[in-house]
Amino acid sequence: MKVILRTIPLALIWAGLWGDLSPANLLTGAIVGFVVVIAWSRRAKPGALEDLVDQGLVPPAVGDAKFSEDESFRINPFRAAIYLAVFAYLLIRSTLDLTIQTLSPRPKIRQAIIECEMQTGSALVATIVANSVSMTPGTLTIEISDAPRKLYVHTLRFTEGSSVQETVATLERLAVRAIRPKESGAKVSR
Amino acid sequence: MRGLVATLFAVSGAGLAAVAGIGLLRLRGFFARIHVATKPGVLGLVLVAIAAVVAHPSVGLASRLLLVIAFQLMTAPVAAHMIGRAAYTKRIGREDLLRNDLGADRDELDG
Repeated sequence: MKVILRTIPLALIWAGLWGDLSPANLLTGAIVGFVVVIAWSRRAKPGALEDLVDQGLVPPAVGDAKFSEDESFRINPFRAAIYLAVFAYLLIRSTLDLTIQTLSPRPKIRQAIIECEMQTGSALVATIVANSVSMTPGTLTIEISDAPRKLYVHTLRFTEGSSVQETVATLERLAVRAIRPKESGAKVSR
Repeated sequence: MRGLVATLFAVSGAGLAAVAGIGLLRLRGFFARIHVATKPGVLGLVLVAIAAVVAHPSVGLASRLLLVIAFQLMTAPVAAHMIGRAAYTKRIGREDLLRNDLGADRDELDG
């Protein structure tokens, strides 16, 4: 079942790259995708990530976070659309803001690294929020710490107050609602 | 009419790419430049892709550009994050910070 669920997006991407969602393309994509899913579905050896940390190939923080573990979740399409809409709004707003600053005679750039505590332990939520923050002009995730999970966000528009923390908290709340991670650490109030 | 809309999208997209270049020259400091070089261009790409679909509407083009945008949105932040993190661990640009919560207690990052 999992194999089929993982094959479908690969088949769609394959057909999308050909620019033609014809049955023949979808079938070819499904065959190629199936082979890829089978070839890469081998579970990582227990302790494989720790070995990479020991060899210095992966930073310790990543090893601690155990991102390799499967995490079950259910996407709520409606909530996911809300997340994407809010993200698009933030993206456009901060792009305009950064554009104005760049073109102004004296750019007002105030840099800082702000600690933003997260309410959930879900690695998937942390990944989504950290990526969204990094994608938004003016903010960039520098580091993630585990237990308690915190994002360290670099901002170009530092103000005394907590606008960055508020943005992270909002994105986290929306992300939890969108993907509903089934995980004991999820204690964000709905 | 369609040509006008496509032109508007294409020009604003190209404008954002130009902003990335101008910002690289005008802003001071490593992190400020990373921000302006990696971000506005992505929205610019989205706008140019929309312009292309408006100008030549077809499922084939739309599906390909949708994939371009999706992969761009997935990979651009990872690249920006890794460059920023590498710079921080090498103590580049820290003097520009007005406040640093990451601070010295995370100096085990340095290496």
